[in-house]
Amino acid sequence: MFWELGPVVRGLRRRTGTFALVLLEVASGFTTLTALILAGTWYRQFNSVPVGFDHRPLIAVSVQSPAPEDPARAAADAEARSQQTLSRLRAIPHVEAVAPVPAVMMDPRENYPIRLHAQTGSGPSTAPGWTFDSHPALAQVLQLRTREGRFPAETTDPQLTSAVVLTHCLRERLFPEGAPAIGRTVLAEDAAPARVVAVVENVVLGDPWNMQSNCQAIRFRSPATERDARFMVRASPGQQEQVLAAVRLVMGESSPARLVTVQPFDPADAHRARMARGLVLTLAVFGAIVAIIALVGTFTVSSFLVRDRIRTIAIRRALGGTPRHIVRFFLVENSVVVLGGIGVGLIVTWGLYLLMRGLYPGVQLGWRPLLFTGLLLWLDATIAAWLPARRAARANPARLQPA
Amino acid sequence: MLLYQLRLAIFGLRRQAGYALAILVVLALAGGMWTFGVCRYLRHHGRYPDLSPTLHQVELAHLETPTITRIQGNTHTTATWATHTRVSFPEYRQLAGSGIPARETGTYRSRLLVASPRGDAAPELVPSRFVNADFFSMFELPLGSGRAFTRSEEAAGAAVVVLGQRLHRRLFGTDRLEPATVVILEGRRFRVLGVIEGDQPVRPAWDIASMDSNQDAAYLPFGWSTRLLARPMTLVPQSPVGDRFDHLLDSDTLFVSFWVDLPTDEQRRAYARRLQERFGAEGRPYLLRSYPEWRQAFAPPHTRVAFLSSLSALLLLVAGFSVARLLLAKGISRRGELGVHRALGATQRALFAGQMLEAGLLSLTAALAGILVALPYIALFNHAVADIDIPVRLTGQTFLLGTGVCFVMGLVAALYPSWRASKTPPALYMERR
Repeated sequence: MFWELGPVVRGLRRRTGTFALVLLEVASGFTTLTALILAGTWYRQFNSVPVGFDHRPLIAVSVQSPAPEDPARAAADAEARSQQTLSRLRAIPHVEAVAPVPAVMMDPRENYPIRLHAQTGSGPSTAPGWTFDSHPALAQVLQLRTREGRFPAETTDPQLTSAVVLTHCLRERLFPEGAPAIGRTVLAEDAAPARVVAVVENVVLGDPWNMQSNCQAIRFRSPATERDARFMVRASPGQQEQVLAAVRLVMGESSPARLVTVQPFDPADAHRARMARGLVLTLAVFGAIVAIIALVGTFTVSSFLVRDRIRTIAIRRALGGTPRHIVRFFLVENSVVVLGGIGVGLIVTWGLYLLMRGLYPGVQLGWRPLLFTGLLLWLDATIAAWLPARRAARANPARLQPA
Repeated sequence: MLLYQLRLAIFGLRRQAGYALAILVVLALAGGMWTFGVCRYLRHHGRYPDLSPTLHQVELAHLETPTITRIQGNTHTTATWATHTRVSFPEYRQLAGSGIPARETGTYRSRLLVASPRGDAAPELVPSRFVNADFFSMFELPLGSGRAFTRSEEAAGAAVVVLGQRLHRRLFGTDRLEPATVVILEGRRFRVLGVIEGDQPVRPAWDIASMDSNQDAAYLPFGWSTRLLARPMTLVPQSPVGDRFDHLLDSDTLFVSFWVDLPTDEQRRAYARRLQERFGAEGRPYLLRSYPEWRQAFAPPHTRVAFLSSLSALLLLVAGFSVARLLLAKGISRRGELGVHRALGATQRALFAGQMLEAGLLSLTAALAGILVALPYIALFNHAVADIDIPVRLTGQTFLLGTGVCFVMGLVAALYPSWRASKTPPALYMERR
């Protein structure tokens, strides 16, 4: 292939404008496609973010009803209703555990992170995290794996309200370098000081798009409000459908003044997860359009470049060149320009990646997207060049002579 | 003369239909994506409306929410904005009721149960906003039909509501308000006084921290918030709070957005004195911002939306290079014809103009065809992504921007090829022939 480079370079010099435009087009196309792939990969991670628990046996129950006319009794009434619902749900056959949960579970837009503080041997520490109000039964509902200490048992211990369970992420941030956590006090912006009683494996109970979503502080306060209550029910293995039907029966139908929602809990159904899937699809369509533009433009110009050098092709054929030589010449020429464009594109892409890091936390520019984009563009251009070159190379050399 | 040139240009394009089609396809595809990018960008980053410059908001010093200092996109932004634009309920009480401003409104959002009075469907939980009567005139919300509630209705605690257009359409199948329309809100009958026209901005000036959420579906008098025990949708905690609703109202949790209208200098000075007495004297920093100052302070940040929209601009650039390449090839393939034109006396300028006219025709057609690409992509985005219930939409402004820039890109891409084509020497072709 090397002995083609001389004619190729000469050919490039004769059509500098055209090939410069090819180079720029490939470079900007490379940058666009790579950015789309990086963004799409970033969104795609939220389709399958490991939430840290098996959601399949879980059923989400929520009840919305107006506040009572007497606001003074509203809180007590709400607590009584919540306890009653809890008892009724627990009484359903094949229900393993039920825990009240807050509205923010997997709904990202109604919660902001808060600051937590702790005192370690080496000084104070602060970390952002999320508060999750629930119940000791949460451990059984979500099958939380305890790393340190003991998850509170379901008791009426008044000390429960001053206890907190941290996920491993938050534990490492508040008590780094192996500092002891159990028994230590944690201060939070939205809750009274609490004593760490256990550390569990990371779970995502909040916005998966937030890089701090693993860092949870589980508190034991009633998450129900005067107007709404939510529960997570864990069914026995293989009994989710049965339990679902039973829960719907127990909870009753909605009415104009009461909204009851009972459905299997699936993190993939969360709003952010659906948005992420939609964005991946739209970005894929965008990428396809980029590839089509590259193909159409390259094919048309390649056809022209072949036709424009019909005389050259005729002479080469007349001097003994085979169709293979002709095709190879055009493919080499095309590849040189495309590789040049990819080279320029790599530099621009690196700059764009630095910009993306601020907007897409954790995004990584690995070799795979670069290789894929480069191969795609090269293949695009090669096919677009190969077809007209092949056609011209197979024609009768005598007929290739210009009139 | 122009008509003759146009006919020549069309004739030239028809003779090289392959090139013309390729240019059309390339520029239309890129133009369509560019138009979508513009639509989406302006949905998020459009200008704040030109409201009265006498509107003011007070910023009090609060604890910032803990977000990573680099921009993380919208969650970071709304959290920060909430800290700077919202106040607690006790602070709201101190800011309101002075009698100084000509108009004032506090506002916050909650989820409320709403159902049709026919009772033929399950209720739905919708984001609803509690506002004072002056809210509608202060923020110039367009009423498609009916009216807003008055101060006297608010003071009397009347069960009245203004509905958003989408909710009214869902409940009653129409945008027009019929007389004596009633809706069941939180189990109570509320009289519907008016229906807001159209969709609200994605970044509503009255409460920018609610950006990127579904729009307000209903507007109720502020006093109903305490009667309904309506907890705010988003809170910024400053310290631990008890579990009762009244604990929340007594706490320093931030959730109320408060605005005043101070049309005269005297009112501004009087209100500033009040702020000094209530907050300054306690050593609490405060800032009274006018609406124009507020607009500058809370300009939309760079977001992922802006980045993705900029990729569509990059695609238009890719198309520009491709179009330039195609036009160059087209011009070279017409050397013979152009050489004859030169030989017959056509000037370089005439050739240049002719080539530019052809490119202009193609660009215009492609720019308009790009709308046919943009519309289905917009529909796909609204359906598949459905981030909020304010859809990405093609408006007059986005149509002009989308097609205009695409058209200009086509012309710019044609400059070099047209110049090259105009340099075709006549002698060469005369000699050959």
